[in-house]
Amino acid sequence: MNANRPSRNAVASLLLLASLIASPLLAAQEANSSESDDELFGDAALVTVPTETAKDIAGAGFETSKGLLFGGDLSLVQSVDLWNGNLSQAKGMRTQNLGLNFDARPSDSFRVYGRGQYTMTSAVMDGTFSIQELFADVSWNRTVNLRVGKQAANWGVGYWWSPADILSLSAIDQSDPSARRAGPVAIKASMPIGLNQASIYATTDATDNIDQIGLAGRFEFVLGDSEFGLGGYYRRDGEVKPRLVGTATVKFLGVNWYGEAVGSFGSEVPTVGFASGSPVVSTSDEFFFQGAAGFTWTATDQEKRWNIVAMGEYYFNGRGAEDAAAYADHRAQLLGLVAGGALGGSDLLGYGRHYAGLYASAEDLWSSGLGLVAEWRSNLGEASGYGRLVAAYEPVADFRAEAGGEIHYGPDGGEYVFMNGTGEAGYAVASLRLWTRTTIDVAYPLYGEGARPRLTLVVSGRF
Amino acid sequence: MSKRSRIRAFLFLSFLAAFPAAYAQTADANPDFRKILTLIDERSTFPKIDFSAVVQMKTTDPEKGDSDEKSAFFRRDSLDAFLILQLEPSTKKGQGMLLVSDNLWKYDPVSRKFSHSSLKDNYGDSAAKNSDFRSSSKAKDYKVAAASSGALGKFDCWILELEAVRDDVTYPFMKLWVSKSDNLLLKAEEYSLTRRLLRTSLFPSYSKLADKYIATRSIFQDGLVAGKRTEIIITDLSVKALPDDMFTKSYLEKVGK
Repeated sequence: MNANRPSRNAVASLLLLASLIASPLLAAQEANSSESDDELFGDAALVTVPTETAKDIAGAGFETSKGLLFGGDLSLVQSVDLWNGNLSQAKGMRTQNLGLNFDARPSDSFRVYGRGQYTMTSAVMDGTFSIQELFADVSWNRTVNLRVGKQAANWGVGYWWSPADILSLSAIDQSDPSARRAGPVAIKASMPIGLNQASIYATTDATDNIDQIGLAGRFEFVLGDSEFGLGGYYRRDGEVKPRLVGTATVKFLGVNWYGEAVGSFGSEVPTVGFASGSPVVSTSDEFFFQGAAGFTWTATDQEKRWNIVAMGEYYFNGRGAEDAAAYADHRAQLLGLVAGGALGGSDLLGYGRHYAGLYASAEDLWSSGLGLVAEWRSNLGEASGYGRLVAAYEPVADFRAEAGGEIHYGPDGGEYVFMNGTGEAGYAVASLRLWTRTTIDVAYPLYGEGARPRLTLVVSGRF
Repeated sequence: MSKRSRIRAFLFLSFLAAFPAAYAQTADANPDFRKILTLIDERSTFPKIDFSAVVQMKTTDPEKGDSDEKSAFFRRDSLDAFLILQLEPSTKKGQGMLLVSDNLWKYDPVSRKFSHSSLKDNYGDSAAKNSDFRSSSKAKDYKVAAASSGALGKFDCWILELEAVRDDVTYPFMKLWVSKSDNLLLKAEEYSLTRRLLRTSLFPSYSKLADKYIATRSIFQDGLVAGKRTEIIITDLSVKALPDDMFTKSYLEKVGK
């Protein structure tokens, strides 16, 4: 095959794709029939008195299930390089995984739920299996709810950064902020008090001594149309440092504002100092502060001429590097520390002091199917960041085309430059949904290391 | 009695006979429309009892595709609260929405996170609004700007043109078709500030529970997207008391998938 030209198979694939694109457009033109007013209101017997009202859903075992219920979710991604025919997993936020779950609710006061996930790390589906959640719920007199086992625990309200989310085992994936994240093995007791709620946790990860149990408590309360949360964490052996946590979501001037603040009495997360010229890993017992604040604003024209979503967030990380450029300057040495086990891979993310992110989108302008999306995030201290500007066209439900560019900028070795594994910078994408759960993308990165057209098949969904 | 006297008596009796009809027609032409709105609100509001049902929602949308959903619905008007929990399809099972007064939470069982949203939002991708599930407050939110007589199918109706008296309502202008025989809301046209038709709502079927009337079949036709419509069928109606913990975030998290 000539490496400088798309293969014949690739051209055939594109022609097939074009024909598939046409079919939903035609299908969308089918007329829609509905009943007339005369048909709807032609019967004088408008009102009926139900003879059986005892069949209420709450009393009919709505909270219980017979036997085990199984479900799952699947995400398969296969990409072909149209220039050389190489198969690969698409890079970026799309990962391949298969999740399976079971749910048993023999009574309204007892439930067992579990979810395991097989995450595929290569095009030939090699991967690893992990238990994401496995817990039992016990309810006492509908007053106190116990959840025992491995469970998600999202305390924070931040979108891209959430320092108050102290129980989750991983930070938010900024390229997919709503993705599920694993939580700790814990015993959680929660009690609603009107609209307010009190919760206490005993976390038991890798515990063989009572001193290793982490204790956490949180009280969420509502004032008007605002919600606040206060909490704390303590572990006797000090392996995880004590923390105080506050969160707030407030509606003001038509905007949803949120904020979170954390005061930590030390940090178990290693930081790197560069005073001696070479990186030295250490942890700290000094008090430091972390906080995030942001807003979400949505505006929809009643006549559907525009629908705008805007979001912004600022994050202050008190334990972040004082010398903002040091991590970028010493990237090679830091990677050596990761390879040697002195640092984890995640320790090379979020090491700055000041971060900010913005997002804005306008979809289906004047019912044309046209839209715009702009996004930006930055480690402000070292001036590295990520930006994306995309124009989208979605005339029908099953077809979407995007063209735009994205950029990872900053010093060599900077946080956001390092995140960009592909070198792709500008791109055009056409997406076709064949059914609700299958998507074909034709992407053409414009320049950079991976700047060759590729065709990607994505199968994803829940069942 | 002379012929002239008989004619006079006939005319007098005819007048007397005609008077109640004429009086009734006058009264019929000028009922208190605010009372009719209040009656509509009261009949669909449950201040002292709870209400629960199963809600089947079918949406036809030429732009975003069709959907068929089933939800459990629980309402406690004394708290100005409702809870909707999705039962079908399996891809959305466990998603839920809780409204208590001015606080509206949505729960995502995948990320296990709650989020706030506006009551004015559409319910999912349907033509129904979140506010459609709340108790009715037309008498408080609107004034009757004009009224006339008309017909809708076999029903003689009052056609009431309403103007909002508050800024935070979903629709600034509405036109209602209310049956004259039993004051049931049969149809509503909902307009934007520029008087553009945004939605047509039809209520061709009601069930009576105690002294309350529930629209068991509702059809919402989008005025801006041709062919987009959502039909809601309500079954398994009940006014049995619900547990207090049902209207809490904790409950939504507990019953979520």
